[in-house]
Amino acid sequence: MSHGRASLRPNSKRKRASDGNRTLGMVWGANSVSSSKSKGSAAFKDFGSYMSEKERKLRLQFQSEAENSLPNDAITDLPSTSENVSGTGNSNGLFGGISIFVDGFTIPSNQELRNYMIRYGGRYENYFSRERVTHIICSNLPNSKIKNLRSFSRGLPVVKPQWIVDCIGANKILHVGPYQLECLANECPQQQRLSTFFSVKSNSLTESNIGTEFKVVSTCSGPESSLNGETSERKNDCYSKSQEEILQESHTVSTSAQNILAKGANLNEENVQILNHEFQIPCLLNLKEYDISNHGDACGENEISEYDIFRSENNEDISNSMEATESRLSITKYRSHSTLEDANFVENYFKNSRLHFIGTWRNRYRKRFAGKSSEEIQGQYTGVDSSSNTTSVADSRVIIHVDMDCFFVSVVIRKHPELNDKPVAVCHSDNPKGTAEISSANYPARGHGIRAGMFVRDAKALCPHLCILPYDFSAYEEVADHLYDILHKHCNRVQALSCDEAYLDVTGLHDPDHIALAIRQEIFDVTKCTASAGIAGNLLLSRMATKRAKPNGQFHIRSKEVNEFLAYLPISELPGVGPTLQEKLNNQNVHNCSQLRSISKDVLQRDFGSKTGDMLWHYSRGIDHRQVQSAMEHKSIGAEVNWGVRFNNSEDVHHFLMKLCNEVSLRLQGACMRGRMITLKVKKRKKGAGEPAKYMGCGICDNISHSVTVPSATDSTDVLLRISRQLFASFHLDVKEVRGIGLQVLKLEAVESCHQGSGKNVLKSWLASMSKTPNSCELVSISNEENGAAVCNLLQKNQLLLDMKDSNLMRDNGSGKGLQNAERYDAKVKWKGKSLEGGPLPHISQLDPTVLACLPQEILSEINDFYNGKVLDYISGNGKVSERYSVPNMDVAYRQSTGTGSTSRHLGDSVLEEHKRKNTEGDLKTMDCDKRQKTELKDHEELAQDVVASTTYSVDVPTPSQLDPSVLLALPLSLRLEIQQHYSATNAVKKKNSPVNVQRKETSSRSQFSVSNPGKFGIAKQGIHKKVLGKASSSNSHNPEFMGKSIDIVDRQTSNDDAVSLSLSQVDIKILQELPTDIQRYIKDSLPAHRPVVAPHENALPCKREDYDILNIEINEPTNSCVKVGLKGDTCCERSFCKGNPPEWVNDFRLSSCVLLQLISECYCKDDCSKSLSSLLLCLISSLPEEFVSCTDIKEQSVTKCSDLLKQYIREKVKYDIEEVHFCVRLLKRLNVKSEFWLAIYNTIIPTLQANVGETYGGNLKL
Amino acid sequence: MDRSKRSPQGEIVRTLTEFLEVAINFVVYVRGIYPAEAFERRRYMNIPVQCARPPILRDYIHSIVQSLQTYIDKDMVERVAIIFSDKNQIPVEKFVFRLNVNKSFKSDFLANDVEYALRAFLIKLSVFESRLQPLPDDCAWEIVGYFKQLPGNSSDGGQLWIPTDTKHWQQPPLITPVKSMSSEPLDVQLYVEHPSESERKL
Repeated sequence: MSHGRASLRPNSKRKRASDGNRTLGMVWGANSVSSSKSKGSAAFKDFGSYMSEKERKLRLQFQSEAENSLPNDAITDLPSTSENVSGTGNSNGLFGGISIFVDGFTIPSNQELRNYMIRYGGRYENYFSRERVTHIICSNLPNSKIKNLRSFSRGLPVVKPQWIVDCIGANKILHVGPYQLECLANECPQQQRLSTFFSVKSNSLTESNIGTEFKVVSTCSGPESSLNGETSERKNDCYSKSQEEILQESHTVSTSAQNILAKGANLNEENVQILNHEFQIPCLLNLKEYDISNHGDACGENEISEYDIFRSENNEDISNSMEATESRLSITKYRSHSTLEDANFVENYFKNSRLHFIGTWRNRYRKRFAGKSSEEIQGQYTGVDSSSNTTSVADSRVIIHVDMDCFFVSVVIRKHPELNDKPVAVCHSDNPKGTAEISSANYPARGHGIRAGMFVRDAKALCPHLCILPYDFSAYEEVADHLYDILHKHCNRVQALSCDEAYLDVTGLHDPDHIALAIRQEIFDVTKCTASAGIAGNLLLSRMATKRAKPNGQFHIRSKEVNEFLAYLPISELPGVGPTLQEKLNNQNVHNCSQLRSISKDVLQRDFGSKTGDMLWHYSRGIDHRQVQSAMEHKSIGAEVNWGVRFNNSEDVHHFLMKLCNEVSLRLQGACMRGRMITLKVKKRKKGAGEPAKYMGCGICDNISHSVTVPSATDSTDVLLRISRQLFASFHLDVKEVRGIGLQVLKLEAVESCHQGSGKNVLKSWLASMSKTPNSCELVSISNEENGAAVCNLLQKNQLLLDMKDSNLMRDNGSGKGLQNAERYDAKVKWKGKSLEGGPLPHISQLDPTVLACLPQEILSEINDFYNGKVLDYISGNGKVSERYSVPNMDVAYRQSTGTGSTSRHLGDSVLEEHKRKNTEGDLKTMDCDKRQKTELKDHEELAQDVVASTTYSVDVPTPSQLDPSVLLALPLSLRLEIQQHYSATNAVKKKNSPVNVQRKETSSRSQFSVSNPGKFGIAKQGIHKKVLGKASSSNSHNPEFMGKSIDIVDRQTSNDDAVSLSLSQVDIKILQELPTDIQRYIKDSLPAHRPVVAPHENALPCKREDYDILNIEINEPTNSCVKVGLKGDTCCERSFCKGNPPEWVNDFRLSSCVLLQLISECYCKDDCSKSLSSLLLCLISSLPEEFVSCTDIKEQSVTKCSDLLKQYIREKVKYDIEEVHFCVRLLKRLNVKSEFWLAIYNTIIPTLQANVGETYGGNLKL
Repeated sequence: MDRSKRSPQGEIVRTLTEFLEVAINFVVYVRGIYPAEAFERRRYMNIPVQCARPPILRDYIHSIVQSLQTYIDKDMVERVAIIFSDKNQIPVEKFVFRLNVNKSFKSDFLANDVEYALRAFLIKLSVFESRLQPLPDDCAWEIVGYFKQLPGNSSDGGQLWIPTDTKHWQQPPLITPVKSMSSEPLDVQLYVEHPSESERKL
């Protein structure tokens, strides 16, 4: 075979010489096929084996050809050789790891390309193979292949041959973006799927993978700034080979991910791996020495998950770390683009938010330059103030305005000079059809008409070649820091406007042009980004000068040139003149400043309002009195999310608010501020507004906002959450209509001592020192699960005290392994332990036990579940520290509460309360809990021991006064006794103060826990919480249903029972009355006999509710008669004559000795006078025999009886039937003319009657 | 109206206000404040009654009763009085409807029973004229509601009501009951107040 090859070689050389002869190449290929076939046809069983044999031979042929043609050049960069770091200067290794397949007609021909690959260390495949080929080279594709690109390319980049030529020309691997086939770049259907991290179809797995990777990138792209010298150390001494591989691996993963992201739609790049290397250089300078090309065979994978799996399969030695990576990936895999699908939405949102970056950058800046600028500004102020504000002073000022040129783009591409003259924009997403907004575009892109704020799809329409890159926040931060370092070096008085823009007051310094030049030069030298500068006498002019100077220039407006400069300046150039104002002015035929100047100030103020008018008047004359000052004071701190906010139910909202509050809280802490006023803003879909044009945008919205002021300034998440939930509830919104939520904290107060900052520094230095010691190397090298957890814990602990940004850096600082662990931690701890559900829980110490106590059972048990890990770990961890707590017991107790699923509130409360008691060890606790979420309890305990031992936290048992007796009550007896013993042993002095002991000073502390005394009410005590008592007692004995009502009384009662003196007069009689009789009796029995006070009270009150109404009447009537009638003193002889059927009086009268009364009674019964006395009287008048009517034989007793009846009747009727009363009286009047008897009655009842009528009607009955 | 029909209580209140409107119309007619031509004969609950013809008068009564309905519903109205005053604004006669709506009444009540009872009021009124002195010339009249508690301004109709400046009698008035009804859901009593003898002499 070697002979055959040798004989072919000159042949192929000849072909190479014959430029671009594609046909010959094919002939050559055909020849070789036929020849090999003729030689060994018998050896092949089938076509497959034939082909594989053929390919093998072709490869050998190619390889030997490469070796022979370039014997002096090392062609070592085959994928299997992992050690090799191919020097980038070596032209031979240029295409290392790249394997091309040429499809169809190309210029240069496939033969030429093959030769290039031979010469520059690449490989050339005659037959397409998904496994071996990394790039497909072709000039054009048939329509069918474009339509079905995925099946054609198998996900590999499809690039024009020009790319290879240019790479050779540039002697490095260029970005494939500009070289991919236009048809692909423009409309490849598959691209959409691959290229977007914020894509339209958010459910697509691929997209979310890429989105995930973006997250990874954002966390691991920072090391170059912070690792500094550490890498060399690592390389030199500490790191074993496997460690190197692990590191290398993890970096490879992340960087390739970064690349894939960075390229976005341009995934069809050739030679991904090498490019990756190239591309990441700016970010990962110190990792350059690692060869990452050895994994070239995998790099063509479009699917990142596939990629990972593939990698882990093929690299056993790094499989551990890969697993970690995968788990990390899987945890975050489902990241998506609305609050609906993503539990981490808020976090991710802000992680990817440019505005958030700018906002948080200010904090960073302030901290960094706080000392400096304040002094300087102070100095400047005094200077200016003393020299007064006259215009002459203002004129003599010299201000330089420095602004980076398209900062967000240039930072990203600063290490890629080849992209300098290509149109590049920075954006979240580069889905060509997407509605992501471009945040910054470089000048070539602007030349195409691309502007910030444009949708990607519009931008792509304007410029199909537009290269869209993602943000690189850590790079921005780094560059911004450099920028301000330089600015502060040159000038004392710096006003930072943004991360890339600042005013410098160089009044009194030497030549401003020179300073500006020096600054710009230095900025470029340090950051490789260009800046422009404007120099003028005030802020306004300097800013406008910068505009003129851009890009990469400087411009000086001297005071005498101001008028000239402004005269023909379009008004739109003036800051503060937006489209609306411009249009208004244009309507007045004002287009430039000189025209504007011709309008008087009054007119301007009239037309545009006093402020705007004033501004226009001044600006058109180039007047600006603003000073260079540090305008960094926060008025408010908040966070607002108006993108991707979609809710299905109030639970979603709750999660979202929780995360938002968390974010705001972090920001507050980051700024060392606390606020008293909390404002919740809600964007609600405007009625009738459709789905917004921008994908997942907020669209047209109504804004609602409401504020609440809290008494003391806060930065705590739970306060924020509580209030924001209240506020949200007060809006009464349909959650489905909500499109955005913002939370702001105002009325800020500085936190006196900046805990966060100091903590951070300490930890940073701690970690830094750790990572330099061999110990840290051990940590890094750990790859098994348990130790990994330890690392994880260390990192977690750190992270607790860091804000998100810094923690990202930290994780990178730690190690690759640490990164993964931290990532995992991130997902675990923050999101309820299960990455995909729920939001961050407030720290357990933040839970208000009283609130918990009031929660419904099921909610409480749910909360309990959420805190499971923490609770367990906490208890066990604590148990180790304070030996007096019996850990097994605690655990058992807790297991009971969770394991049996008993949602028993007692236990839930108690466990939570336990936590509250010990919240001093917050860090430890969180650490522990996370670590053990998924492993066995036993392991947890051991680990806890380790961690506890390794940390210096001292866990103090809380004082007894901090114990909640209700919790104690709910604890199992044994546990309680233990606690109690502990306290009695250690805190005997404090005993009196503890609420536990207050309840019974006399009794022994042992008996105070004797819950199980069934006959009595157990351990109830006076101050105890109602609910707990209710529970305790109901579980103990009597009638649970009224226990709730009778808490007070029972409370006292039981205390009394326990020999605490209590008088019955202290008993609330009302409550006593409501108790069932047996309880009442019990209470009375147990009361001291010598306190008889209760009895009359009790009797005086109605005993039964049913009787109440009647009794009420009975009670009231004597009063009435006493006061109103009072004449005869007959109040006591009240008998209800009118009750009953027939009424009592009927019998009474019948039995009386008086004939008249008997007659009346008879008459009543005979006529059945429908129970009204008027009808009876009427009846009497008509029916009574004359002699009876005129009977003179009157007995006093009869008159009294009759009049009493009538009085009672009147009293009863007067309120509701005065007519009847009136009628009766009139009938009586008619009767009394006939008989003395009736006259006597009449005279008797009239005063009663009038009194009653007067009382009810305020007048007298007309008789 | 539709709403109130649903609950028995609402039904009672509706019936009551309707009755009040008719009764006030009728009282005004009976007392002869306006010429008889200002009224027309109508039937209410099958009883011939007199109803004011001029829209202003009718609307006045109607709107007052309607605004009362809210408060009756809330059981805030204790009495509704039609006060006739002489030219010195001194009341000479008051027709008082004393109302008591049983709010807790839940069971079905028979609207017929209530109507039957209320009808008696109208009949009684029509014959009551004979027992009254004719009013002096230049009389004015007004409707005064006596509330158990003052209605807030916020509720509808509340702003229509002003504190009355009607002068009060120095002495307790004489009461002449006209008609009373007492039932489970509703108590209504109509009586007429006149100044006491001593007052009249003053």
